[in-house]
Amino acid sequence: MAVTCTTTIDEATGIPVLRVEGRLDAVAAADFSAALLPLAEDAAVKRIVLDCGELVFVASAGLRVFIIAVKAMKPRGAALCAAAASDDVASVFRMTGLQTLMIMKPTVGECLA
Amino acid sequence: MKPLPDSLEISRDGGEFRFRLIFPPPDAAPGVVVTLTEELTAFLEERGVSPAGVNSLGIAAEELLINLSKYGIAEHGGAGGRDLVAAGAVTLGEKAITFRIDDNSAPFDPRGRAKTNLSDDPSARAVGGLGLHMLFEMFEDCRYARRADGNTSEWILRLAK
Repeated sequence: MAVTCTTTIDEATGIPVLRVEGRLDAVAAADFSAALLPLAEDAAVKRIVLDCGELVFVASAGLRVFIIAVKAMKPRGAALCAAAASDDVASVFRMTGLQTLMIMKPTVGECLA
Repeated sequence: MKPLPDSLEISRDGGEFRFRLIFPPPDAAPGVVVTLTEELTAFLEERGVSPAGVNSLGIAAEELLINLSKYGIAEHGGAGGRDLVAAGAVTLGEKAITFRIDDNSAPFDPRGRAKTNLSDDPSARAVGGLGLHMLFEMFEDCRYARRADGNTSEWILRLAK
């Protein structure tokens, strides 16, 4: 199972929501990078919401993309908000310190608020 | 089940999942490693291993084999002109799951890794180094031995009572 990345723009806020489904492994990280990094590098984007509700696996290749995105966003005060991560995915974020680099919320709605 | 690449052999025997991988060139290695990880995940799920256990072992398989494909040749002199080969087994026990991996690469003791920078300052964060860090967080024990022709490491995941 590969990863599927779908970007939509929330109509009310204009915030991009990137839905990530599947396994974020050594192969899929390239697709995730292609979907996330252009948004992260766009100076007009102040927040990106990652809908992780259907994300079932994250290896270090995927984590690297998160870190690269945060490094691109933080200097301009932009933020990455991860929503609805499963226990296993949230555990990986915690043990690698990702939870201190991005916002984590239970739902997409809370990330958009 | 999709067909396996020629470079990958897998067998299942009760509570043991065995594999042997002859590494393809580095740019093709991730695809083979991901196939192995998916097969291992299916094996563990079929045997009722907890989602957290399945996750930990999947991460271990990917991190250790991807590391070997990247650094086994480039940084450590590889397998001395031979094919780089990794073989191993995941063994389900009553109290623990053991993941053993043997390779024929130059010496690499994972216990001697550099400390991973987990700073909350993004500008200070290294992008790499997270794979082994996760394994040492997830697994209770790591044993390493250098053999005459390669490395053996064993990762022990204790099961909750």
